[in-house]
Amino acid sequence: MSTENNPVRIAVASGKGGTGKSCVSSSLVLSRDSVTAVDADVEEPNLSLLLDQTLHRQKDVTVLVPEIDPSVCTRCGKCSNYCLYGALTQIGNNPPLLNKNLCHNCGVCSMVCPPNAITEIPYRVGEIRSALDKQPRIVEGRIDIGTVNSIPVIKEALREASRLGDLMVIDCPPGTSCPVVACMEDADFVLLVTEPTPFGLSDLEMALELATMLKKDCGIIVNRSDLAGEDLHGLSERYNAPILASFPFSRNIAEAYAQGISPIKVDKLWEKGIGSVWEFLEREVLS
Amino acid sequence: MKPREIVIVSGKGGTGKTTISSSLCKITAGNSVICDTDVDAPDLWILMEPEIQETRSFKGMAQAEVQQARCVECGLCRDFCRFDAILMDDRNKAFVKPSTCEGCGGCAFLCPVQAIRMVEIEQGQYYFSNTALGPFWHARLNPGGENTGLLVHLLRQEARNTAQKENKGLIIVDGPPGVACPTISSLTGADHAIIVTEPSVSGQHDLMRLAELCNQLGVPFSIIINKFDLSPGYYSRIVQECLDRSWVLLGAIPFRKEVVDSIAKKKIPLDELNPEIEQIWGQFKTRIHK
Repeated sequence: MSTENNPVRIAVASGKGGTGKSCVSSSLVLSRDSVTAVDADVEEPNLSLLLDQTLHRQKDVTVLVPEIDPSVCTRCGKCSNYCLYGALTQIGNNPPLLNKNLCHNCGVCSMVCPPNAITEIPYRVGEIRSALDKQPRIVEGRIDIGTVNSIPVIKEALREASRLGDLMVIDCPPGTSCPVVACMEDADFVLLVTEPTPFGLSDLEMALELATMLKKDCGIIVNRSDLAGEDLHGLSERYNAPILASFPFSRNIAEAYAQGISPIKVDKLWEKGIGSVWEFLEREVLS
Repeated sequence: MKPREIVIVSGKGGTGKTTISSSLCKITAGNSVICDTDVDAPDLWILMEPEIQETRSFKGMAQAEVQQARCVECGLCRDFCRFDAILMDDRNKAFVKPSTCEGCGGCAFLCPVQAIRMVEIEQGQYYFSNTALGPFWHARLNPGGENTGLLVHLLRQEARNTAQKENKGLIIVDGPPGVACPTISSLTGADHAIIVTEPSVSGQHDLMRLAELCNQLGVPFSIIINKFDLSPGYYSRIVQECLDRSWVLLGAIPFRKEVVDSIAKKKIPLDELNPEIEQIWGQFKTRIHK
């Protein structure tokens, strides 16, 4: 299923935040050759901190926003009427004003403008940073503070990483809404990291529903498995998502993580558990 | 009197927003309206035992729908769509990929045979509930749902209406992680943000980005360091950061297994977070909520 320009993608997601997505992603990446790590948690990207990589700015991510030429604009109001996001407001006899935060960069305004007074100009919403000269390679998307819509930066990070051709491990944002869809929709397998608390369980179920809706195969990794006693086997069976590894809470790991050290570097259980996750993936996804 | 709206946010997920929000709700019980704006991973309800009084459908933006019988296979809609939400099937008829359409309406405008119309579809539900601690607005976005910002906006508006109607002085908002759409929607126009962070290189990194966002939005904020004893090194770094930038540090809470045990029993861990959380609230009242 893998081709040069369409490498296999493993998405690491969770629903609930802080369950250990980046711990799992970094451990996966550090225990196998020829993997590209993708930090698609573009609002708060910190996978590179656990991979001990220094990132360099690779390119800006821009979207197209309308620019209205006041000398051509006839003040007909069509652009603001057709903008369903309310990003263009026309007051009195002035050309419409743009609220960049509401603009979805859809291009409808310039399409409907009768005198073609609107050109679309690039507007920066974030950047792609990367470290490609030593292993493990990493591509990170990072939105600029104030950017509302993170999807263009997520898509660009995935595009840049896929061009490298290696198997991709994608560290997804938390939640179950559109940014997670953007990360999961082209994934070949989804790993859901959870913790056995009522919060973890509830958010895991939402993430499983999303993965099912997108017709993705998934597996579950249970982190801090001994901290609270929720039983995940029911969900695992109902959604046909095997539990691939369980890791108990460890202060040692928490302290290492705090300093930016991936669990796999300090804990034998992680080495073994992540090894068996790779064995599963080799068998079920990569072969 | 205008109710004061306090939003609990974190940047990084899993630092303890809901744990701390729920405890603040208990401390201020009777005086506050409660609101959960983490709509795509809502957890506060689990601790609140809500009795749902009212369920409303959340529709968000309309999405494109192709009536394939009328489609003339021209592909104009597909070529125009910036969101790659329209594909052609094996008979070369257009169809809309669910969960990718952002509802701009460009395809419906362009279609030469009017085969595309914009239809409202349910993106989730939101609820008004009674709880032992006060009125509670919460929601659940359908998996893959869009327009989280809009849903957050609706919830906050309803919470403000309820606070005014029932004469409550406070609104406690349990916010989402991150710094984009739902977080911006949760913070815009709020009176104060309490940022819950944790002592780690990631926690510090995410705190800096969220603080920048609060500054950009003009929302004053203060900080709680949760699980502060998990890394003495990063704890002092964050404390130093607060001092250097004159940020208000409300207090720090150690990691306690009892907090997790309480949540496992679906109980608000107020006793387990004490004495620190009451001291933190005392700090908040003397330094901010005067």
